[in-house]
Amino acid sequence: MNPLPPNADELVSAYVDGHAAPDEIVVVESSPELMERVEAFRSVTDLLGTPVEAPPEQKEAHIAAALGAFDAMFSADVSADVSADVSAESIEEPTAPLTAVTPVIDDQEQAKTPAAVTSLSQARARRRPRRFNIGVIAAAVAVVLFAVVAAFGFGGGGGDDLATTSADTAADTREAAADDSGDFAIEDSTGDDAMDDAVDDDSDSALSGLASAAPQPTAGADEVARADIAEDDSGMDEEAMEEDAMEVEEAAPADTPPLDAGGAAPFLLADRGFGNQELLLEELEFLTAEELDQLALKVDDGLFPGCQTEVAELAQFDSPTLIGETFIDDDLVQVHRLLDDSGEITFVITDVDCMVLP
Amino acid sequence: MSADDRALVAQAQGGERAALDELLRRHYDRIFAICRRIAGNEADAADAAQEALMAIVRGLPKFDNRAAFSTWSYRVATNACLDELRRRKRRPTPSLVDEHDGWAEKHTDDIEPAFDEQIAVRDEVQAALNGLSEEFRAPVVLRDCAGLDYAEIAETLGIPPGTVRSRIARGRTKLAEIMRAGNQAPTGERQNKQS
Repeated sequence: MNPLPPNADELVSAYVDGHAAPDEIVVVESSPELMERVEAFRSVTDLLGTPVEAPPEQKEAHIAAALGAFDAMFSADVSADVSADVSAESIEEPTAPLTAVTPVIDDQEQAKTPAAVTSLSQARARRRPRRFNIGVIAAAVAVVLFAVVAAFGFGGGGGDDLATTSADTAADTREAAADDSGDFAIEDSTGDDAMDDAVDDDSDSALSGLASAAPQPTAGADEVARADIAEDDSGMDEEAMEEDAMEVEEAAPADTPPLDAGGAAPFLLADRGFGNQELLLEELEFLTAEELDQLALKVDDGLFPGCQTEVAELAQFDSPTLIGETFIDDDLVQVHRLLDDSGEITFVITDVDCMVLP
Repeated sequence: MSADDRALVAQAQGGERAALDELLRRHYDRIFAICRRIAGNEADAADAAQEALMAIVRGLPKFDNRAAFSTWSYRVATNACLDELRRRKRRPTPSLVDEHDGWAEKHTDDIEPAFDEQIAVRDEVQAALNGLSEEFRAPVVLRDCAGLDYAEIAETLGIPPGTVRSRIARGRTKLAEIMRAGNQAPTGERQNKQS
Protein backbone atom coordinates (compact mmCIF):
# COMPACT_ATOMS: atom_id res chain seq x y z
CA MET A 1 0.00 0.00 0.00
CA ASN A 2 1.38 3.38 -1.00
CA PRO A 3 1.83 5.95 1.76
CA LEU A 4 -0.61 8.83 1.58
CA PRO A 5 0.77 12.05 0.16
CA PRO A 6 1.37 14.77 2.78
CA ASN A 7 -1.36 16.97 1.34
CA ALA A 8 -3.84 14.14 1.03
CA ASP A 9 -6.79 16.08 2.43
CA GLU A 10 -6.13 18.98 0.11
CA LEU A 11 -6.01 16.66 -2.86
CA VAL A 12 -9.22 14.97 -1.80
CA SER A 13 -10.96 18.27 -1.15
CA ALA A 14 -9.91 19.66 -4.52
CA TYR A 15 -11.04 16.41 -6.13
CA VAL A 16 -14.47 16.70 -4.53
CA ASP A 17 -14.76 20.26 -5.80
CA GLY A 18 -13.58 19.39 -9.30
CA HIS A 19 -10.55 21.62 -8.81
CA ALA A 20 -7.92 18.88 -8.85
CA ALA A 21 -5.31 18.82 -11.59
CA PRO A 22 -5.23 15.75 -13.89
CA ASP A 23 -2.20 14.26 -12.13
CA GLU A 24 -3.91 14.81 -8.76
CA ILE A 25 -7.02 13.06 -10.01
CA VAL A 26 -4.89 10.05 -10.91
CA VAL A 27 -3.35 10.02 -7.42
CA VAL A 28 -6.72 10.20 -5.69
CA GLU A 29 -8.50 7.65 -7.84
CA SER A 30 -5.69 5.17 -7.55
CA SER A 31 -5.86 5.11 -3.77
CA PRO A 32 -8.75 3.34 -2.02
CA GLU A 33 -7.96 5.24 1.17
CA LEU A 34 -8.19 8.56 -0.57
CA MET A 35 -11.45 7.51 -2.22
CA GLU A 36 -12.76 6.69 1.24
CA ARG A 37 -11.92 10.22 2.29
CA VAL A 38 -13.62 11.48 -0.81
CA GLU A 39 -16.81 9.84 0.39
CA ALA A 40 -16.38 11.32 3.86
CA PHE A 41 -15.87 14.80 2.43
CA ARG A 42 -18.83 14.39 0.12
CA SER A 43 -21.09 13.58 3.03
CA VAL A 44 -19.83 16.72 4.77
CA THR A 45 -20.49 18.87 1.73
CA ASP A 46 -23.93 17.30 1.28
CA LEU A 47 -24.85 18.15 4.84
CA LEU A 48 -23.59 21.70 4.47
CA GLY A 49 -25.61 22.05 1.31
CA THR A 50 -28.82 21.23 3.18
CA PRO A 51 -31.16 24.16 2.61
CA VAL A 52 -31.48 26.60 5.45
CA GLU A 53 -34.79 28.35 5.32
CA ALA A 54 -35.42 31.71 6.82
CA PRO A 55 -38.70 32.33 8.61
CA PRO A 56 -41.05 33.67 5.91
CA GLU A 57 -42.05 36.72 7.96
CA GLN A 58 -38.39 37.58 8.48
CA LYS A 59 -37.73 37.27 4.77
CA GLU A 60 -40.63 39.56 3.96
CA ALA A 61 -39.57 42.09 6.58
CA HIS A 62 -35.98 42.14 5.36
CA ILE A 63 -36.97 42.55 1.73
CA ALA A 64 -39.49 45.24 2.63
CA ALA A 65 -36.87 47.19 4.56
CA ALA A 66 -34.43 46.90 1.68
CA LEU A 67 -37.05 48.08 -0.79
CA GLY A 68 -37.82 50.96 1.53
CA ALA A 69 -34.17 51.96 1.48
CA PHE A 70 -34.22 51.64 -2.30
CA ASP A 71 -37.27 53.91 -2.54
CA ALA A 72 -35.63 56.46 -0.30
CA MET A 73 -32.44 56.33 -2.33
CA PHE A 74 -34.24 56.93 -5.58
CA SER A 75 -36.63 59.53 -4.22
CA ALA A 76 -33.61 61.39 -2.81
CA ASP A 77 -31.97 61.29 -6.24
CA VAL A 78 -35.15 62.46 -7.91
CA SER A 79 -35.58 65.22 -5.34
CA ALA A 80 -32.06 66.40 -5.99
CA ASP A 81 -32.67 66.39 -9.73
CA VAL A 82 -35.97 68.21 -9.37
CA SER A 83 -34.39 70.72 -7.05
CA ALA A 84 -31.59 71.37 -9.51
CA ASP A 85 -33.98 71.67 -12.45
CA VAL A 86 -36.29 74.03 -10.67
CA SER A 87 -33.39 76.13 -9.48
CA ALA A 88 -32.00 76.36 -12.96
CA GLU A 89 -35.32 77.54 -14.34
CA SER A 90 -36.07 80.15 -11.73
CA ILE A 91 -34.52 80.83 -8.40
CA GLU A 92 -37.71 82.52 -7.24
CA GLU A 93 -39.81 79.39 -7.49
CA PRO A 94 -39.89 77.46 -4.22
CA THR A 95 -38.59 73.95 -4.77
CA ALA A 96 -40.96 71.09 -4.08
CA PRO A 97 -38.72 69.12 -1.70
CA LEU A 98 -38.29 72.12 0.55
CA THR A 99 -41.99 72.81 0.85
CA ALA A 100 -42.87 69.17 1.29
CA VAL A 101 -40.99 68.64 4.52
CA THR A 102 -42.03 69.54 8.01
CA PRO A 103 -39.63 72.12 9.32
CA VAL A 104 -39.99 71.41 13.01
CA ILE A 105 -40.03 68.00 14.64
CA ASP A 106 -40.60 67.53 18.31
CA ASP A 107 -38.41 65.19 20.32
CA GLN A 108 -40.80 62.26 20.30
CA GLU A 109 -41.36 62.45 16.60
CA GLN A 110 -37.68 62.84 16.08
CA ALA A 111 -37.03 59.65 18.02
CA LYS A 112 -39.41 57.82 15.72
CA THR A 113 -37.95 59.33 12.57
CA PRO A 114 -36.44 56.51 10.59
CA ALA A 115 -32.74 56.41 10.00
CA ALA A 116 -31.23 58.32 7.17
CA VAL A 117 -27.95 58.08 5.42
CA THR A 118 -26.07 61.33 5.40
CA SER A 119 -23.75 60.95 2.52
CA LEU A 120 -20.44 62.47 1.76
CA SER A 121 -21.80 64.13 -1.32
CA GLN A 122 -24.30 66.02 0.78
CA ALA A 123 -21.62 67.01 3.24
CA ARG A 124 -19.41 68.12 0.40
CA ALA A 125 -22.23 69.99 -1.26
CA ARG A 126 -22.33 72.14 1.80
CA ARG A 127 -18.65 72.85 1.59
CA ARG A 128 -18.53 74.03 -1.97
CA PRO A 129 -20.53 77.16 -1.30
CA ARG A 130 -17.78 78.63 0.85
CA ARG A 131 -15.51 78.79 -2.14
CA PHE A 132 -18.36 80.25 -4.17
CA ASN A 133 -18.96 82.85 -1.47
CA ILE A 134 -15.42 84.07 -1.74
CA GLY A 135 -15.96 84.53 -5.45
CA VAL A 136 -19.17 86.45 -4.90
CA ILE A 137 -17.63 88.65 -2.25
CA ALA A 138 -14.65 89.30 -4.51
CA ALA A 139 -17.09 90.28 -7.24
CA ALA A 140 -18.85 92.61 -4.84
CA VAL A 141 -15.56 94.25 -3.94
CA ALA A 142 -14.82 94.68 -7.63
CA VAL A 143 -18.20 96.33 -8.09
CA VAL A 144 -17.50 98.70 -5.21
CA LEU A 145 -14.19 99.68 -6.75
CA PHE A 146 -15.83 100.07 -10.12
CA ALA A 147 -18.54 102.22 -8.59
CA VAL A 148 -15.99 104.44 -6.85
CA VAL A 149 -14.02 104.87 -10.05
CA ALA A 150 -17.21 105.54 -12.00
CA ALA A 151 -18.41 108.12 -9.47
CA PHE A 152 -15.21 110.04 -9.13
CA GLY A 153 -13.43 109.37 -12.38
CA PHE A 154 -16.06 109.75 -15.07
CA GLY A 155 -18.82 112.08 -13.76
CA GLY A 156 -21.89 113.06 -15.95
CA GLY A 157 -25.59 112.16 -15.74
CA GLY A 158 -25.30 108.63 -17.04
CA GLY A 159 -22.35 108.09 -14.80
CA ASP A 160 -24.33 109.26 -11.77
CA ASP A 161 -27.04 106.75 -12.47
CA LEU A 162 -24.49 104.11 -12.94
CA ALA A 163 -22.68 105.02 -9.75
CA THR A 164 -25.88 105.14 -7.73
CA THR A 165 -27.05 101.77 -8.91
CA SER A 166 -23.66 100.28 -8.43
CA ALA A 167 -23.35 101.71 -4.96
CA ASP A 168 -26.79 100.40 -4.03
CA THR A 169 -25.96 97.01 -5.29
CA ALA A 170 -22.62 97.07 -3.59
CA ALA A 171 -24.25 98.15 -0.36
CA ASP A 172 -26.74 95.31 -0.62
CA THR A 173 -23.99 92.92 -1.35
CA ARG A 174 -21.79 94.17 1.47
CA GLU A 175 -24.71 93.95 3.85
CA ALA A 176 -25.36 90.40 2.83
CA ALA A 177 -21.69 89.56 3.00
CA ALA A 178 -21.42 91.04 6.48
CA ASP A 179 -24.36 89.02 7.72
CA ASP A 180 -23.66 85.79 9.61
CA SER A 181 -20.10 86.62 10.54
CA GLY A 182 -18.98 87.17 7.03
CA ASP A 183 -20.90 84.39 5.34
CA PHE A 184 -22.85 85.51 2.31
CA ALA A 185 -26.42 84.61 3.20
CA ILE A 186 -28.13 84.88 -0.13
CA GLU A 187 -31.34 83.42 1.26
CA ASP A 188 -31.56 86.32 3.70
CA SER A 189 -33.99 88.92 2.42
CA THR A 190 -31.24 91.41 1.68
CA GLY A 191 -29.20 88.78 -0.02
CA ASP A 192 -32.22 87.76 -2.02
CA ASP A 193 -32.61 91.31 -3.25
CA ALA A 194 -29.01 91.43 -4.24
CA MET A 195 -29.23 88.23 -6.17
CA ASP A 196 -32.59 89.06 -7.70
CA ASP A 197 -31.18 92.39 -8.84
CA ALA A 198 -28.25 90.64 -10.33
CA VAL A 199 -30.54 88.38 -12.32
CA ASP A 200 -33.36 90.74 -13.20
CA ASP A 201 -31.51 93.88 -14.17
CA ASP A 202 -28.96 92.86 -16.71
CA SER A 203 -29.27 96.18 -18.52
CA ASP A 204 -27.54 97.96 -15.68
CA SER A 205 -23.86 97.96 -16.49
CA ALA A 206 -22.71 97.72 -12.89
CA LEU A 207 -24.98 94.81 -12.24
CA SER A 208 -23.87 93.24 -15.47
CA GLY A 209 -20.40 93.47 -14.05
CA LEU A 210 -21.54 91.66 -10.92
CA ALA A 211 -23.48 89.11 -12.89
CA SER A 212 -20.57 88.33 -15.16
CA ALA A 213 -17.97 88.33 -12.41
CA ALA A 214 -19.99 86.09 -10.15
CA PRO A 215 -21.21 82.62 -11.05
CA GLN A 216 -24.67 82.60 -12.60
CA PRO A 217 -27.50 81.87 -10.20
CA THR A 218 -28.07 78.33 -11.32
CA ALA A 219 -28.68 75.25 -9.25
CA GLY A 220 -25.30 75.77 -7.66
CA ALA A 221 -26.22 79.24 -6.49
CA ASP A 222 -29.49 78.00 -5.08
CA GLU A 223 -27.60 75.28 -3.32
CA VAL A 224 -25.25 77.91 -1.95
CA ALA A 225 -28.11 79.81 -0.44
CA ARG A 226 -29.66 76.84 1.28
CA ALA A 227 -26.38 75.33 2.32
CA ASP A 228 -25.13 78.49 3.97
CA ILE A 229 -28.30 78.79 5.97
CA ALA A 230 -27.89 75.25 7.18
CA GLU A 231 -24.30 75.83 8.16
CA ASP A 232 -24.53 79.00 10.13
CA ASP A 233 -27.44 79.78 12.41
CA SER A 234 -25.94 82.72 14.25
CA GLY A 235 -27.84 85.96 13.86
CA MET A 236 -30.64 84.43 11.83
CA ASP A 237 -34.20 85.54 12.04
CA GLU A 238 -37.03 83.13 12.64
CA GLU A 239 -37.80 82.67 8.98
CA ALA A 240 -34.23 81.83 8.25
CA MET A 241 -34.22 79.33 11.10
CA GLU A 242 -37.23 77.62 9.62
CA GLU A 243 -35.48 77.41 6.32
CA ASP A 244 -32.53 76.00 8.15
CA ALA A 245 -34.71 73.24 9.54
CA MET A 246 -35.99 72.59 6.04
CA GLU A 247 -32.46 72.25 4.79
CA VAL A 248 -31.65 69.72 7.46
CA GLU A 249 -34.75 67.81 6.51
CA GLU A 250 -33.78 67.92 2.91
CA ALA A 251 -30.39 66.43 3.73
CA ALA A 252 -32.09 63.58 5.58
CA PRO A 253 -35.39 62.90 3.83
CA ALA A 254 -38.25 62.38 6.25
CA ASP A 255 -39.46 59.26 4.52
CA THR A 256 -36.11 57.49 4.63
CA PRO A 257 -36.76 53.98 5.94
CA PRO A 258 -34.97 52.53 8.93
CA LEU A 259 -31.53 51.27 8.09
CA ASP A 260 -31.17 49.75 11.52
CA ALA A 261 -34.20 47.53 11.23
CA GLY A 262 -32.04 44.54 11.97
CA GLY A 263 -30.49 46.17 15.00
CA ALA A 264 -27.40 47.41 13.21
CA ALA A 265 -26.34 51.01 13.50
CA PRO A 266 -27.14 53.33 10.63
CA PHE A 267 -24.27 53.70 8.30
CA LEU A 268 -22.85 57.14 8.38
CA LEU A 269 -21.19 58.52 5.30
CA ALA A 270 -21.80 55.21 3.70
CA ASP A 271 -20.89 55.93 0.13
CA ARG A 272 -17.26 55.12 0.79
CA GLY A 273 -14.74 54.57 3.53
CA PHE A 274 -11.90 56.83 4.54
CA GLY A 275 -8.17 56.52 4.07
CA ASN A 276 -7.45 57.62 7.59
CA GLN A 277 -9.06 58.94 10.72
CA GLU A 278 -8.30 62.56 9.96
CA LEU A 279 -10.28 62.43 6.74
CA LEU A 280 -13.24 60.97 8.58
CA LEU A 281 -13.07 63.63 11.28
CA GLU A 282 -12.81 66.29 8.62
CA GLU A 283 -16.07 65.08 7.07
CA LEU A 284 -17.78 64.77 10.44
CA GLU A 285 -17.15 68.44 11.09
CA PHE A 286 -19.53 69.26 8.30
CA LEU A 287 -22.47 67.51 9.91
CA THR A 288 -24.68 69.90 11.78
CA ALA A 289 -25.59 69.36 15.42
CA GLU A 290 -29.14 68.56 14.34
CA GLU A 291 -27.99 65.90 11.94
CA LEU A 292 -25.82 64.36 14.62
CA ASP A 293 -28.76 64.39 17.02
CA GLN A 294 -30.92 62.61 14.52
CA LEU A 295 -28.28 60.02 13.76
CA ALA A 296 -27.86 59.29 17.47
CA LEU A 297 -31.60 58.91 17.89
CA LYS A 298 -31.75 56.27 15.19
CA VAL A 299 -30.28 53.73 17.56
CA ASP A 300 -32.50 54.55 20.50
CA ASP A 301 -35.23 52.29 21.93
CA GLY A 302 -32.95 50.89 24.58
CA LEU A 303 -30.60 49.49 22.02
CA PHE A 304 -27.02 50.44 22.63
CA PRO A 305 -25.24 48.58 19.91
CA GLY A 306 -21.52 48.48 19.77
CA CYS A 307 -19.23 49.83 22.35
CA GLN A 308 -21.32 52.15 24.45
CA THR A 309 -21.63 49.71 27.32
CA GLU A 310 -18.02 48.65 27.16
CA VAL A 311 -16.02 51.81 26.66
CA ALA A 312 -15.78 53.82 29.87
CA GLU A 313 -15.90 57.19 28.10
CA LEU A 314 -19.14 56.21 26.43
CA ALA A 315 -20.81 54.17 29.18
CA GLN A 316 -21.30 57.24 31.35
CA PHE A 317 -23.75 58.65 28.83
CA ASP A 318 -27.37 57.66 29.25
CA SER A 319 -28.35 58.69 25.78
CA PRO A 320 -27.08 56.87 22.71
CA THR A 321 -23.75 58.07 21.48
CA LEU A 322 -23.43 55.97 18.35
CA ILE A 323 -24.07 57.97 15.21
CA GLY A 324 -22.96 55.41 12.69
CA GLU A 325 -20.42 53.12 11.23
CA THR A 326 -18.00 53.47 8.40
CA PHE A 327 -14.66 52.18 7.26
CA ILE A 328 -11.18 53.53 7.78
CA ASP A 329 -8.72 51.88 5.45
CA ASP A 330 -11.24 49.05 4.98
CA ASP A 331 -11.58 48.44 8.71
CA LEU A 332 -15.03 48.81 10.19
CA VAL A 333 -15.23 51.53 12.82
CA GLN A 334 -18.00 53.00 14.92
CA VAL A 335 -18.35 56.73 15.32
CA HIS A 336 -19.70 58.06 18.61
CA ARG A 337 -20.70 61.61 19.35
CA LEU A 338 -20.25 62.99 22.85
CA LEU A 339 -21.91 66.21 23.86
CA ASP A 340 -20.74 67.99 27.00
CA ASP A 341 -22.74 70.49 29.05
CA SER A 342 -21.37 73.41 27.10
CA GLY A 343 -22.58 71.83 23.87
CA GLU A 344 -19.11 71.00 22.65
CA ILE A 345 -19.04 67.93 20.45
CA THR A 346 -16.33 65.31 20.68
CA PHE A 347 -16.10 62.34 18.36
CA VAL A 348 -14.94 58.98 19.64
CA ILE A 349 -14.02 56.38 17.06
CA THR A 350 -13.75 52.74 18.04
CA ASP A 351 -12.70 49.68 16.14
CA VAL A 352 -14.67 46.43 16.08
CA ASP A 353 -13.06 45.33 19.34
CA CYS A 354 -14.21 48.50 21.09
CA MET A 355 -10.73 49.91 21.26
CA VAL A 356 -10.82 53.67 21.04
CA LEU A 357 -8.66 54.79 18.16
CA PRO A 358 -5.96 57.20 19.31
CA MET B 1 -30.69 32.63 -14.52
CA SER B 2 -27.58 34.76 -14.74
CA ALA B 3 -28.81 36.58 -17.84
CA ASP B 4 -32.10 37.23 -16.10
CA ASP B 5 -30.20 38.59 -13.14
CA ARG B 6 -28.38 40.99 -15.43
CA ALA B 7 -31.61 42.30 -16.86
CA LEU B 8 -33.08 42.68 -13.41
CA VAL B 9 -29.97 44.46 -12.17
CA ALA B 10 -30.14 46.90 -15.06
CA GLN B 11 -33.79 47.58 -14.36
CA ALA B 12 -33.18 47.98 -10.66
CA GLN B 13 -30.32 50.36 -11.35
CA GLY B 14 -32.78 52.35 -13.41
CA GLY B 15 -35.07 52.63 -10.42
CA GLU B 16 -37.46 49.76 -11.03
CA ARG B 17 -38.55 48.61 -7.63
CA ALA B 18 -40.15 45.39 -8.88
CA ALA B 19 -36.87 44.30 -10.43
CA LEU B 20 -35.02 44.73 -7.15
CA ASP B 21 -37.82 42.93 -5.35
CA GLU B 22 -37.43 39.97 -7.68
CA LEU B 23 -33.65 39.95 -7.35
CA LEU B 24 -33.78 40.00 -3.58
CA ARG B 25 -36.42 37.28 -3.43
CA ARG B 26 -34.42 35.15 -5.79
CA HIS B 27 -31.27 35.30 -3.69
CA TYR B 28 -32.54 35.84 -0.18
CA ASP B 29 -32.60 32.18 0.83
CA ARG B 30 -29.02 31.64 -0.21
CA ILE B 31 -27.91 34.86 1.42
CA PHE B 32 -29.62 33.86 4.64
CA ALA B 33 -28.12 30.38 4.45
CA ILE B 34 -24.65 31.87 4.17
CA CYS B 35 -25.35 34.15 7.08
CA ARG B 36 -26.82 31.34 9.15
CA ARG B 37 -23.84 29.10 8.54
CA ILE B 38 -21.22 31.73 9.12
CA ALA B 39 -22.87 33.60 11.97
CA GLY B 40 -23.76 30.42 13.82
CA ASN B 41 -27.08 31.47 15.32
CA GLU B 42 -30.43 32.75 14.12
CA ALA B 43 -30.28 36.18 15.69
CA ASP B 44 -26.89 37.16 14.31
CA ALA B 45 -27.78 35.59 10.97
CA ALA B 46 -30.94 37.69 10.80
CA ASP B 47 -29.00 40.86 11.60
CA ALA B 48 -26.35 40.01 9.05
CA ALA B 49 -28.90 39.12 6.36
CA GLN B 50 -30.70 42.41 6.90
CA GLU B 51 -27.46 44.33 6.76
CA ALA B 52 -26.45 42.40 3.64
CA LEU B 53 -29.66 43.39 1.87
CA MET B 54 -29.15 47.02 2.83
CA ALA B 55 -25.57 46.87 1.59
CA ILE B 56 -26.77 45.36 -1.68
CA VAL B 57 -29.22 48.21 -2.14
CA ARG B 58 -26.57 50.79 -1.32
CA GLY B 59 -24.03 49.13 -3.59
CA LEU B 60 -26.37 48.46 -6.50
CA PRO B 61 -25.70 51.76 -8.33
CA LYS B 62 -22.00 50.91 -8.41
CA PHE B 63 -22.42 47.25 -9.32
CA ASP B 64 -20.90 46.84 -12.78
CA ASN B 65 -21.75 43.22 -13.67
CA ARG B 66 -18.12 42.19 -13.72
CA ALA B 67 -19.14 39.39 -11.40
CA ALA B 68 -22.48 37.63 -11.41
CA PHE B 69 -25.02 39.32 -9.19
CA SER B 70 -25.26 36.13 -7.15
CA THR B 71 -21.51 36.07 -6.53
CA TRP B 72 -21.45 39.73 -5.63
CA SER B 73 -24.43 39.46 -3.32
CA TYR B 74 -22.92 36.44 -1.57
CA ARG B 75 -19.74 38.40 -1.13
CA VAL B 76 -21.68 41.25 0.39
CA ALA B 77 -23.47 38.79 2.66
CA THR B 78 -20.21 37.20 3.72
CA ASN B 79 -18.73 40.55 4.63
CA ALA B 80 -21.87 41.45 6.57
CA CYS B 81 -21.58 38.17 8.46
CA LEU B 82 -17.92 38.62 9.21
CA ASP B 83 -18.65 42.12 10.49
CA GLU B 84 -21.42 40.65 12.63
CA LEU B 85 -19.02 38.04 13.98
CA ARG B 86 -16.55 40.74 14.91
CA ARG B 87 -19.27 42.71 16.63
CA ARG B 88 -20.34 39.60 18.46
CA LYS B 89 -16.85 39.15 19.88
CA ARG B 90 -17.47 42.08 22.17
CA ARG B 91 -20.88 40.89 23.30
CA PRO B 92 -21.46 38.16 25.87
CA THR B 93 -22.29 34.88 24.12
CA PRO B 94 -25.87 33.86 24.80
CA SER B 95 -26.52 30.34 25.98
CA LEU B 96 -28.44 28.00 23.73
CA VAL B 97 -31.59 28.39 25.83
CA ASP B 98 -31.30 32.17 25.82
CA GLU B 99 -30.64 32.17 22.13
CA HIS B 100 -33.86 30.34 21.31
CA ASP B 101 -35.74 32.07 24.07
CA GLY B 102 -36.63 28.81 25.73
CA TRP B 103 -38.09 27.48 22.51
CA ALA B 104 -36.46 24.07 22.82
CA GLU B 105 -37.77 23.53 26.34
CA LYS B 106 -41.28 24.57 25.43
CA HIS B 107 -41.54 22.48 22.29
CA THR B 108 -39.60 19.35 23.09
CA ASP B 109 -42.70 17.28 23.76
CA ASP B 110 -44.89 18.21 20.84
CA ILE B 111 -42.58 18.23 17.84
CA GLU B 112 -42.87 15.60 15.19
CA PRO B 113 -40.06 13.03 15.13
CA ALA B 114 -39.19 13.80 11.51
CA PHE B 115 -38.93 17.47 12.27
CA ASP B 116 -36.94 16.63 15.36
CA GLU B 117 -34.60 14.63 13.18
CA GLN B 118 -34.19 17.53 10.76
CA ILE B 119 -33.47 19.92 13.57
CA ALA B 120 -30.96 17.48 15.00
CA VAL B 121 -29.13 17.15 11.70
CA ARG B 122 -29.19 20.89 11.16
CA ASP B 123 -27.97 21.58 14.65
CA GLU B 124 -25.31 18.94 14.25
CA VAL B 125 -24.02 20.56 11.07
CA GLN B 126 -24.17 23.98 12.64
CA ALA B 127 -22.49 22.82 15.82
CA ALA B 128 -19.72 21.30 13.77
CA LEU B 129 -19.36 24.49 11.77
CA ASN B 130 -19.28 26.54 14.95
CA GLY B 131 -16.33 24.42 15.99
CA LEU B 132 -14.33 25.82 13.09
CA SER B 133 -12.50 29.08 13.36
CA GLU B 134 -13.70 31.92 11.16
CA GLU B 135 -10.82 31.55 8.73
CA PHE B 136 -11.87 27.99 7.87
CA ARG B 137 -15.60 28.38 8.27
CA ALA B 138 -16.08 31.18 5.75
CA PRO B 139 -14.39 29.46 2.78
CA VAL B 140 -16.14 26.16 3.49
CA VAL B 141 -19.53 27.87 3.68
CA LEU B 142 -18.91 29.86 0.53
CA ARG B 143 -17.95 26.67 -1.27
CA ASP B 144 -20.58 24.29 0.05
CA CYS B 145 -23.50 26.58 0.77
CA ALA B 146 -23.03 29.25 -1.87
CA GLY B 147 -21.36 27.13 -4.52
CA LEU B 148 -18.66 29.69 -5.28
CA ASP B 149 -15.52 28.46 -6.99
CA TYR B 150 -12.08 28.93 -5.50
CA ALA B 151 -11.34 32.08 -7.45
CA GLU B 152 -14.59 33.69 -6.37
CA ILE B 153 -13.98 32.73 -2.76
CA ALA B 154 -10.47 34.12 -2.99
CA GLU B 155 -11.84 37.39 -4.28
CA THR B 156 -14.55 37.49 -1.67
CA LEU B 157 -12.24 36.85 1.25
CA GLY B 158 -9.21 38.65 -0.11
CA ILE B 159 -6.91 35.64 0.10
CA PRO B 160 -5.00 33.75 -2.61
CA PRO B 161 -6.77 30.82 -4.34
CA GLY B 162 -4.13 28.42 -3.03
CA THR B 163 -5.00 29.49 0.51
CA VAL B 164 -8.68 28.99 -0.26
CA ARG B 165 -7.97 25.46 -1.38
CA SER B 166 -5.96 24.58 1.71
CA ARG B 167 -8.42 26.24 4.10
CA ILE B 168 -11.36 24.41 2.59
CA ALA B 169 -9.48 21.16 2.89
CA ARG B 170 -8.53 21.76 6.51
CA GLY B 171 -12.02 22.95 7.30
CA ARG B 172 -13.60 19.84 5.84
CA THR B 173 -11.15 17.59 7.60
CA LYS B 174 -11.97 19.23 10.88
CA LEU B 175 -15.70 19.06 10.16
CA ALA B 176 -15.49 15.38 9.31
CA GLU B 177 -13.67 14.76 12.61
CA ILE B 178 -16.18 16.76 14.64
CA MET B 179 -19.14 15.06 13.02
CA ARG B 180 -17.63 11.63 13.37
CA ALA B 181 -17.07 12.26 17.06
CA GLY B 182 -20.54 13.78 17.39
CA ASN B 183 -22.20 10.83 15.65
CA GLN B 184 -20.84 8.40 18.21
CA ALA B 185 -22.20 10.18 21.28
CA PRO B 186 -25.67 10.99 19.97
CA THR B 187 -26.09 7.40 18.76
CA GLY B 188 -25.62 6.14 22.29
CA GLU B 189 -27.92 8.84 23.60
CA ARG B 190 -30.62 7.92 21.09
CA GLN B 191 -30.40 4.25 22.06
CA ASN B 192 -30.78 5.20 25.73
CA LYS B 193 -33.75 7.38 24.87
CA GLN B 194 -35.51 4.57 23.00
CA SER B 195 -34.90 1.97 25.69
